[in-house]
Amino acid sequence: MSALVSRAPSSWSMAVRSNPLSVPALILLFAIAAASLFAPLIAQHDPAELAPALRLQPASETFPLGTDAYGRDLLARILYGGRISLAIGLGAAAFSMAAGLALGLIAGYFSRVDTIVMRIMDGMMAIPNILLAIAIVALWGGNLAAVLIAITIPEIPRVTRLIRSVVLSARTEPYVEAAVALGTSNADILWRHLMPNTLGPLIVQGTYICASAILLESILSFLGAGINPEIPTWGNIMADGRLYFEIRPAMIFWPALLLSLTVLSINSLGDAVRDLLDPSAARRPEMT
Amino acid sequence: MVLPYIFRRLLAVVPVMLVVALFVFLLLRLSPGDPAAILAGDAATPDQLAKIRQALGLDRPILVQLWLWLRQLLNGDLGVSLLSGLPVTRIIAQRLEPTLSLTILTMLFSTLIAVPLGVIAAWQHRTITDRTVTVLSVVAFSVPVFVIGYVLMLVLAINLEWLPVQGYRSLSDGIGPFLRHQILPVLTLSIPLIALIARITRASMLDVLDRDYIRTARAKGLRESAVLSRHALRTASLPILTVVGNGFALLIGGAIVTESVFNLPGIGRLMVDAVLARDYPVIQGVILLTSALYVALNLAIDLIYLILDPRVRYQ
Repeated sequence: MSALVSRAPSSWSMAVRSNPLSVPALILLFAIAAASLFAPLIAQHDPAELAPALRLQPASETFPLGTDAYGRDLLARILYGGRISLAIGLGAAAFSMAAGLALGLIAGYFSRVDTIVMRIMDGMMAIPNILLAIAIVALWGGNLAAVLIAITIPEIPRVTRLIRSVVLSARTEPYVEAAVALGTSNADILWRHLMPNTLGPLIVQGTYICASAILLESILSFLGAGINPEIPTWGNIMADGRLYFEIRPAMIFWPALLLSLTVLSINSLGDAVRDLLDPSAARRPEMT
Repeated sequence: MVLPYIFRRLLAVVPVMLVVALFVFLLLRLSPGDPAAILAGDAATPDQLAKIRQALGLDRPILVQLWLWLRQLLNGDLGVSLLSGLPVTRIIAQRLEPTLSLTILTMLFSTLIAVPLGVIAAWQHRTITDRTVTVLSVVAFSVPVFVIGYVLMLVLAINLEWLPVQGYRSLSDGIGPFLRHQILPVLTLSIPLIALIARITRASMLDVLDRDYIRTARAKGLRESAVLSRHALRTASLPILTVVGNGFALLIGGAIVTESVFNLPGIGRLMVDAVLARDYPVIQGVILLTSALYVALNLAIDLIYLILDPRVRYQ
């Protein structure tokens, strides 16, 4: 009997219980972000410091993870690389969320432009994202801005679709129709009545984009179509490590471990946030 | 009822491909700076620049360029490579076999592994089996494909020497060598795909398993395996198909990376080489081809829906 009268578990504990990885994920993510941010305090060397005599050293006291093919400290490069990789993840998420939100609100609300916007999105979605991204980098160069744009653009259609579907179902709600009847301006309806509905799904989608952007950066660098190889990013360090992979797997192993843990943590946080915002979804996680 | 639907669905392909063509067209023209200079590189002579401008028609007004480009595409002409001077269609055709064998074998293998995994996870909902499948599928999705490739290569090819490290053997070299060279790349590319398909199979099965007709099927004493396969999976297969269709982009992206890791002379390697050499006609040819494949695959899946789910016909 006591089980029947006991309080329903809160949505917080529900979300945590159905996503057991979310708490360690949050701690890990904080640790990785802090380590990258305070890289100068942790690493004993400059990430660009060359020491040709000390190339491909194994792990030692002065070089905790060893050195790369130019004698640069692997630990310093990985920590500084984390800054760029994390910045790309956050930047790609922020820009694609902003663009997708604007396009999705417009397409969902103004039925006249809906068809045009959505046909463009359909076309963009037909191009595999890695192909589109490496083509953009090839034309626009391997600077941070070009890579960020290259990673952001393929994500925009998915966000637009999501926001549009939320707007389409919200705009038939009585409170929205009341606002229309009262002569509220379109801008007000969009921003004050429709936009708040989209925030939950938008944030969840944003976390997934952040994770996949970090992965995509590493793939672009690996293919040689990423950020200028001089700049340490997790992808660039692994791309450097390809040649020496058999003798020094550490150059691929450590960045890969850090990158995978970061992506894994962001994804499981996304799952937890999704379940928190929509507890009914906790039972049936869907792939986005 | 059916024919107009098929007709409308076929017609919907046109704007999508038009947008892709327009996008590819604008990508080069909207690049910062002189497109011909970007393609020719820093060491280009004025003579080379003029040649590239002429080859791509960049010296004409933009609307004329667009018109010529679309007309060329309708004739099935993708232009010639700036590097080799060969027609892009012929270059792509030569590289098709490794990519097709990699993607088709990966699709078959991952479906064979992932669908049973997803079904078992859903059937054993909230047990340790279910949790293991769920967690493993998230983990598999968080590791870059090339890292998976290198780890498999290090263990199975370099340390254990069971399999060839890299390279491709055509089917015409015999089925044995062909398959031996396919195992590592297919295994590599399958891992993210298995994760994707297992996850959606599980979700889709969970959705179906607590419906009334499943309870009825169990109540009338049907064997559990029959309930799962003939009743539940049949309904659950529709969302799975959709995700497999959308997963094609993942498959192509992964194929590019896998071909680089294992040195397979396919479309992916062609694209990467073209990107590094800024051979734009080849780049746009590969993008157009893969997008057309994506559109065709999703069209096929929509038409399969029509057969599997009669309700679609009345929408």
